[in-house]
Amino acid sequence: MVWLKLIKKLFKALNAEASPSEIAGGVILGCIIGLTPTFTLHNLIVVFLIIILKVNISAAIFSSILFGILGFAVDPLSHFIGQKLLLFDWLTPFWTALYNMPIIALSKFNNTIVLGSLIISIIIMLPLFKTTKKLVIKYREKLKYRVEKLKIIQILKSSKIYQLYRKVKI
Amino acid sequence: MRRKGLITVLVIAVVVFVFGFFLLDNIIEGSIEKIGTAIWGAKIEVGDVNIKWSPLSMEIIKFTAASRKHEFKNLIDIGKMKFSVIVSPLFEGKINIEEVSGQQLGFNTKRKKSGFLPKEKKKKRQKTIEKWKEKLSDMMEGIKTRGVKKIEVLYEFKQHELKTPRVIDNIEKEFNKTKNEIERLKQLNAQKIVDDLKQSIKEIESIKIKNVQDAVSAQEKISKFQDSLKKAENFQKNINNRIEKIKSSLNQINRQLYNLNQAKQQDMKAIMGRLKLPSFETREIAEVIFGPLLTDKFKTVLEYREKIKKHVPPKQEKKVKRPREQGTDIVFIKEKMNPPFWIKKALISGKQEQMIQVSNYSPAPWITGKPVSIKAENDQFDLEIVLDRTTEIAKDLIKGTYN
Repeated sequence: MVWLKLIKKLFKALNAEASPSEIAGGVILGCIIGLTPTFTLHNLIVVFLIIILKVNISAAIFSSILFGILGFAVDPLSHFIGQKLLLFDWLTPFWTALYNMPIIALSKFNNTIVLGSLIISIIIMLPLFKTTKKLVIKYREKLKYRVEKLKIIQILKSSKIYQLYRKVKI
Repeated sequence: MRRKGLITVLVIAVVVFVFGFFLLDNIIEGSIEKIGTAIWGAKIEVGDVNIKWSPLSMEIIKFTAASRKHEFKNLIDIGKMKFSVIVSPLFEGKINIEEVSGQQLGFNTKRKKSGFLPKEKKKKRQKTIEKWKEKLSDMMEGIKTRGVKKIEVLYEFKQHELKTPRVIDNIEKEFNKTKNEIERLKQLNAQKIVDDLKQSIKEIESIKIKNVQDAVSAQEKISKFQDSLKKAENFQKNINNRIEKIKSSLNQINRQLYNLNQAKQQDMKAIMGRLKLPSFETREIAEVIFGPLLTDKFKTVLEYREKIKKHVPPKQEKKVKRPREQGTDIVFIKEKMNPPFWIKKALISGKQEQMIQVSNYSPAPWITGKPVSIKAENDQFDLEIVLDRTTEIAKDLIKGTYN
């Protein structure tokens, strides 16, 4: 049921309820949660940002799931990047200083995958934002009406919960 | 900004703030009195409780535990109790206590009101204690029969099967190699090469050709200079090679240190995998504690459940989720290390002039860098003991005066 609701909300957002920037914002924040290991300090901050910033929450949830799956494939690369960065001689004083800070040490930045995946997600943030924004605009221009005619969407729309939801909404 | 989200966060923050700063003191005060009285069987009273967040501390003012035998006497009467702990080491799982103290401690002091409990409360308390005793004995019995018997070591590890000792050996070898290389570098006599070169330069500078003999000696001097120059060049190459070797050895050590961490994790996994430790899962413990009660009450429901189960097709086995990679934690040097346990100050003082104070107690004094000091004072004697275990050589000091 929750899934159904989420899919509906996402389609609703895609079909003009939310602005492309809001959706793209949700996607990039969800990407950070999905790519990096879940229980870390920076993810707490990202969740906080999702709550307070005007980004699409459904998009953020979907993006975190999608990038979470992608994370399995990216983990070896994250480990490689994290390991290289953490073992660079000229960066050692910087990491040591961070390691000695009481709260920063809790962020598990000294873990190869946490650091590597965070770096990857930061790097892809801007291109992902722009691409998502463009894709949403193109979807609304070209695909929106075709998707709405799909049978699965018709079924979803005609479900009781959707009808009830609409009634309450009106 | 999302207004709803911001409001929710603010509301949560305000609730936490109000709870922490205004209500928590009273809640703890009430809980100590209520739970303490229920356990002790006579009145437990607390004057005031103060919670402070920076540093994290709890102060209990005027704590009294009434006697169970004498109606108008307190068994224990403490003027002020304080417990403060340093927060940052807690995140590393280390307990560093700033102060734990009990001041103005008194025994068998007088009290104005009766310390006995009303009869109804006494009966209730007795029943609760019996109920819990039964539950605990059932639980212990269950754990004994289910868990502890299952402990068996199926496999004995031999050193050559573990990776960690091998990596440590490699690190040691590499370290000794580097050390020898540095020693050899120190032994190289650079001064002699430089002196030879200087000498031959001086000789060349002094060349003056007036006749054929001078030309011959000049040629000799030039060839000598060329030899010393070659020697110097070879020497420089030699030094550069050795420095490169040292650099590569140091890199090797760094790599091995990184491998050590991985080997340690792999060995731990292998050891844990081969030990069959009993599993104290929530379900099993809950079954031990509540099992008999639940099965009695829901016996019929369970019977129906079993009947239905026979007609329901078996569930498809759940696919085991592949866990994400864990990565490796790279450890850096801690400038200020915290010991695993440290009591900076423990103080007990009596109503008169008695006092016992223990300072800097830690099982790792070499980390705190401070010796353990024990002071005991009375109106008749003073005693001071200092146990210094901060360095390899232990130093103990005992001072005492008797009046």
